[in-house]
Amino acid sequence: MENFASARFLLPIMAIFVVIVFIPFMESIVFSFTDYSGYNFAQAKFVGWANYLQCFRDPTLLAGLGFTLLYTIATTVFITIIALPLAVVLNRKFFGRNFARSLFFFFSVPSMAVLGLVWQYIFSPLSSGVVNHLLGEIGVAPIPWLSNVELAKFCVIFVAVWGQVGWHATLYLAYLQAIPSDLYEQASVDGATRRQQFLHITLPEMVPAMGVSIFMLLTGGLKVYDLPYGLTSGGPGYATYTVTQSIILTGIGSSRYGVGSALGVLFFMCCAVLVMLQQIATRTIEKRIS
Amino acid sequence: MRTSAKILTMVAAASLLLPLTACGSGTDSSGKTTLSFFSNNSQDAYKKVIAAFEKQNPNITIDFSTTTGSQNGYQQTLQTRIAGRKLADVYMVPPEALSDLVKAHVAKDLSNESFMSKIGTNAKKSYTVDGKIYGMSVSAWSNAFAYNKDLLAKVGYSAIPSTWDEFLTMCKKLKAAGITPYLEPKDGLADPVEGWIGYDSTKQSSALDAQISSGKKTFESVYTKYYTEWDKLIKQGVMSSDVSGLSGDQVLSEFTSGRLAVMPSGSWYITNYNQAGINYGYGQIPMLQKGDTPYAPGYADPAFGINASINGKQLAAAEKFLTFISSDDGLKLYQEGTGLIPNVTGYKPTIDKHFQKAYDLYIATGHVYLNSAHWAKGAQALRSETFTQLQQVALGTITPDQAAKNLDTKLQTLS
Repeated sequence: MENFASARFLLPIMAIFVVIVFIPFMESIVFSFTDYSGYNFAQAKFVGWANYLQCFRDPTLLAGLGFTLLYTIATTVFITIIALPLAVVLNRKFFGRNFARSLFFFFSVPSMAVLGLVWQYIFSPLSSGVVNHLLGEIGVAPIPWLSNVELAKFCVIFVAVWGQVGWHATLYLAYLQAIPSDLYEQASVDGATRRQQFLHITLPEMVPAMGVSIFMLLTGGLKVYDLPYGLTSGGPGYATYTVTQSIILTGIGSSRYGVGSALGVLFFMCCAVLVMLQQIATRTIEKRIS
Repeated sequence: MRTSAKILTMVAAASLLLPLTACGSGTDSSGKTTLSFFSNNSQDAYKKVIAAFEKQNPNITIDFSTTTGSQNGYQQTLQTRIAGRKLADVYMVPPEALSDLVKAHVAKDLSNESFMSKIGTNAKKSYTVDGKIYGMSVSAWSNAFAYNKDLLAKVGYSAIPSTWDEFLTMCKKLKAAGITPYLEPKDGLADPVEGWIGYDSTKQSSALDAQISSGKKTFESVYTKYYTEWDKLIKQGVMSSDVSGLSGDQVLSEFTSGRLAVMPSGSWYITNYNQAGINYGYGQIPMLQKGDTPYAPGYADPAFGINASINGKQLAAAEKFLTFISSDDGLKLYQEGTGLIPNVTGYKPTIDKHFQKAYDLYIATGHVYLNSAHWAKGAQALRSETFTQLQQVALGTITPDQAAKNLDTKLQTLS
């Protein structure tokens, strides 16, 4: 009875989820079996698995898969490695702590597309770019940041980490503040060092927070579009091309909703598997620790 | 749930729907007709046009809407609105989407409309499908080579050379003098190539790209030689491979700061150049051989189209709006607001003195060419693919003929 009463509170959000997520996704599945151009569905014809086969035949459609996976793994690892110790530092008392917390959080306020456009000038490969200009002052030749395949990938991942580390540090900070302080007091009395307290108290207590943070980083990374498109437009060549960019530009932007939808469905299945594995891993670790 | 709570919930839900009733067009109780207009330009660009039209037609109100971002963003929003049956009464027809719009029966046949009588033959042809005209294009664009006169003078040049080899020689002299000779944006690489193809197409029965699209020729057989010529810029060291990572704004910034000698540009940057205070001019895009008729990338601008499903007062209002746009008053305000150059029979547009030569050479003569206008399928994807391939050529990771071959592969997947 109590569960039913609680479930009713979920009805409004479930209704929104059905309308803006579930129904459009079902429509995508339907579109993926047709030659729908995006203009008039009444004229669309059933094409069977042709769109799905097309996804594997057109090299440009899958061109973004490699970088999307690299971006997802790299941002997840680096943001987690930086955000957690950062949260520990921001949790301590020091002069200007509130300003520091606001500053790091501020990086996540502008949209990723705006960050991409701004950093385009900072990482310009010309000698007039901000970074190259500063390097020139100390006698270093201009570096082709956005016009070199490997460096362009580095730049996109760097800006993503820079823009999101503050937000995830704030998430960890919230969980940190929920850890009972007497655990640390007892550990101090028992002679545990700061490093030991971090490894044996903080880290295990933060596993649920890490589960949430990593889940958000994985899902956000897999569907990334705005930052790479704003910073490099997916270039140079296909260096920073993403799967979402493929879906939008080659599928939907070219009046090939059917192909774009098929790629979207395939990608959804891959993401679902990855996220499921992540959830299983997180639950296993939580169980072991508790 | 108590009755009062139920009533409150229903009222709250209904109030959420209320703003939706403000959308769209129609006639209100006072007899005023609201005409919806979806544009690919900002509200500021059309402010004067709309104000003047409404003053002339006090019974018509224009409900203006637009989208921010690139032409890609406009086209995607247009598709979404059509799919959601929310297409405006008047909208801009992108040339790449014309055949899809006609197939979807959302573009009205304008062939016999009185306002089409002033539209030039090339502009009509650009928006014709199966003998019927579906868009009124009142302006055209073309690129040319904007150049910094002071920088060119430092190496003894007063204008852009007329041939490609002479242009490369000039660029080498500029490079030796420590001046950046030439840059292109990453999504506009190989700018001269379309001009070269445009000229060579005049010696063919149909445009070279139309022949590629129909399967008579391939990208490899047509584009390799042009891409190889363009690649000389990289191979001879006069254009850095950094162009594979440069945006249009960054190239513009280099030019207006006086650090760059030449850049491809249309008339849309004139305000920026004038504000920067540089001593500049527009010159012709060098052709491959001496004596070749100058051609440049260019085309009729996106056209004004009418939603095929409107009728009655809506249709009459839409026709009045297009008639006004094509009038002398309308064209003057259109040019002032958008910066686009009207190209309508009997109307002499005001051309900035810097762009006059380029206008006379390309737009006035119709010597413009756009490869994607001749691709029957996937024009947008294919055009985007050309720049992606050229970025790789600039980086040296693939050769020009490999780039052309990859375009053939892409075309196969779009067929």
